[in-house]
Amino acid sequence: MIPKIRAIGEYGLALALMLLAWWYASGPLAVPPYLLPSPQSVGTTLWSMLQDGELLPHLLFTVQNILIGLLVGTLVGVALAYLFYKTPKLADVVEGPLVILQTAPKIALAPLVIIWFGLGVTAKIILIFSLVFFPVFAGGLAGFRNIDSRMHDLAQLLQLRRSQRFFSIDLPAALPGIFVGVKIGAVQALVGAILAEWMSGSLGLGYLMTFAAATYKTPILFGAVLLTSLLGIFLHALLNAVETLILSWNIPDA
Amino acid sequence: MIKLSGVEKIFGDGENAVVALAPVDVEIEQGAFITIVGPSGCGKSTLLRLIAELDSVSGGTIELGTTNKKRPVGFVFQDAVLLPWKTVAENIRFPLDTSGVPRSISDPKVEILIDLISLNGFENALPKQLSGGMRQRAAIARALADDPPILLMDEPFSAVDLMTRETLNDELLKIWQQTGKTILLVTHSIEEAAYLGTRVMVMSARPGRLRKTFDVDIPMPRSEDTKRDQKYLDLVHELRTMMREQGH
Amino acid sequence: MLIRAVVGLVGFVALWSAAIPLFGVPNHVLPSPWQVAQQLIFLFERGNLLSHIQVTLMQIVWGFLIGLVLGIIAAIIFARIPFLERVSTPLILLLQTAPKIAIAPLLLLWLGLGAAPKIVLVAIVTFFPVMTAMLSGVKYINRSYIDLAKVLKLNPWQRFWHIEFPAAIPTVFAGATVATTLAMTAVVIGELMGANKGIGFLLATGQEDADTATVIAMVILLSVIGWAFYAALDYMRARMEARYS
Repeated sequence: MIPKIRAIGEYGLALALMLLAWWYASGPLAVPPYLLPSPQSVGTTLWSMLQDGELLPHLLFTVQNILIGLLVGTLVGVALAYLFYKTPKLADVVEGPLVILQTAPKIALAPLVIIWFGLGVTAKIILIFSLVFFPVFAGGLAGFRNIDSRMHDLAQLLQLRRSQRFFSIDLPAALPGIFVGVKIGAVQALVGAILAEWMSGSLGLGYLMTFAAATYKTPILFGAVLLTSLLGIFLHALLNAVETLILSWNIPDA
Repeated sequence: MIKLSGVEKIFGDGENAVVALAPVDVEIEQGAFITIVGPSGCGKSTLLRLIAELDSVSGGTIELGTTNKKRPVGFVFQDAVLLPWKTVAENIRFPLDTSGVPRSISDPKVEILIDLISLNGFENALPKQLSGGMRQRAAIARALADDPPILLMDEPFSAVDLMTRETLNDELLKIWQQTGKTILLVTHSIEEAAYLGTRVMVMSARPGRLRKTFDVDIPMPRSEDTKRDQKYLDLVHELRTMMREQGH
Repeated sequence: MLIRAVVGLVGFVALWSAAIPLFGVPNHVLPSPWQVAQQLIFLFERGNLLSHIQVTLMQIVWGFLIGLVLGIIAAIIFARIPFLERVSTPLILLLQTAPKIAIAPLLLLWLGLGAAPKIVLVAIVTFFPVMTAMLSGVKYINRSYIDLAKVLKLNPWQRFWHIEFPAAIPTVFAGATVATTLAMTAVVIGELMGANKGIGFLLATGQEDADTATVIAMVILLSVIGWAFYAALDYMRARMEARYS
């Protein structure tokens, strides 16, 4: 418990230091406000937007898209990984191109997705989905393939049914691998959501950024950047918490 | 009675075929404690896997002589193979859960098994929190959970330290006497084979085959004193001489 | 593996070509591979594609090299001055967790639409995995090497240059290999968000004109560059590891 409190204290201190540096640059150093607005002005702008009800719809839109994309991408990624794991012939044929796609910057698909699916929420979720899918698929496949062969022996000895085998052996054993993929996918999901909103539509934190940049409302731009960063940190912390909750068996005791 | 007639295992085919186990004929009476000893590559683990139907035979037949039980054998692997995401109690209960036994019946059974293998107090521990010996105890309990008449053990104690190994040997004998299971235990320790078995099967390599069977005429229960018993020492000597002749 | 990849790719292109007449997909939705190839050639000859490719490559290479060097230097400083590492760890973890893309709009605001913001963004995303890899390589070095250094009575700098640094190199390459995909993503995001040159710029204009052929051609081009970039680093990493073990 003590180390935890200390860690929170250290993070708080780091945040405070960054805030201080920001304040110093915008105040005493007098960097022009259109390049660097003061922390106070960003704070008041965010607060008044929140009170006017202007901020929440943007924030919720981004969060909603990320969560849906993350969920669907994870489900489909795991399902397909299992299919590939169970049908090695399929894997033989399709895995070659997939290896190349693995290193391709999938974010480049954003324009194509926008052309195909329009400026609305569908295109955004599809883009996020396709960004989440790949790392989860790769992590899941590695997870399934690394299962200790004697666990298969055990399943055979106990003559487990297909579903018993999946839910009580294959899935939990592959979960650490899947989780590696989900964590990468979550970062990608945020990137995809912001970029898609930046490029099209009129909702979301990404839209707020491009709107603010185009109209030289720098405090709003900074506020949106700040919220996006916080969202990323929050998502990361959330997944870490879920990981310690469901994967504690996989973390060696210190 | 387990009856193996002409059981053999060949991996690969044509020119690449490797005989893992040359035809074996053997009969094992119910309630026997058979130890199988031999060098690496003698097919002792293969034999066990064939009896468990983890691999299929290339020839011959295996009769287990049991009533039509869904799972006639319990199996203990070399290093436990507990499911790391389940607690000790959940691991032991796993065979019961997966055959639809309600908790009202399985829970008391698990309690008895925990007693039997002396893991009281560790019911809710995860495998990572246990020592190697404790993990192996839990694995034995899991193999016994749905009460199979036959227990197959593939070098069950080779990963634990010597002191623990001796304790586990004595406990296994106790369990065997209490439950009356037919046990087949593979080991490469000659002393362990002689100490535990009512019958010792010696196997040799290239190709893997059954070389000779010894009946062990040492009364149960066995203890530290057994290890000074002339019959035990003679048997160990004979087994060792035989293994030496094979060039090991 | 490569043969399989090629076979799979050929199969994919064949399927793509066959699907268009079969399902009557309109051209503006999905052009045929042939049309994409034609568009690529057209852009080469008339659209000055080569100079766009040069711009993108230049941004990747400079950003990557800067991130690599700074990452290694930072790790060296942290390794030599543990106090500094302890103090800055929370800050670094915080920055590492925050999505780096969020800073892209600020870079565009500060540095304009040219190459500078992309180079900085690529350098930032490269910096973190390289620094972490280098630091863990130095920290988790085999204890026997440290003992060897003690027996030989090496001074701290000798120990660093002759033992810790070389021992960490394979790990650094592993980090750099991971960074290649991040660097590619960063450059594409930078160019999509605001640019007047580069492959990402063509991608963005292709989207505005709903010019599917150009968009697909650019996606393929970026994939090939990304793969080559990754493969090059992975090759160097493998060479390094082979030399050591």
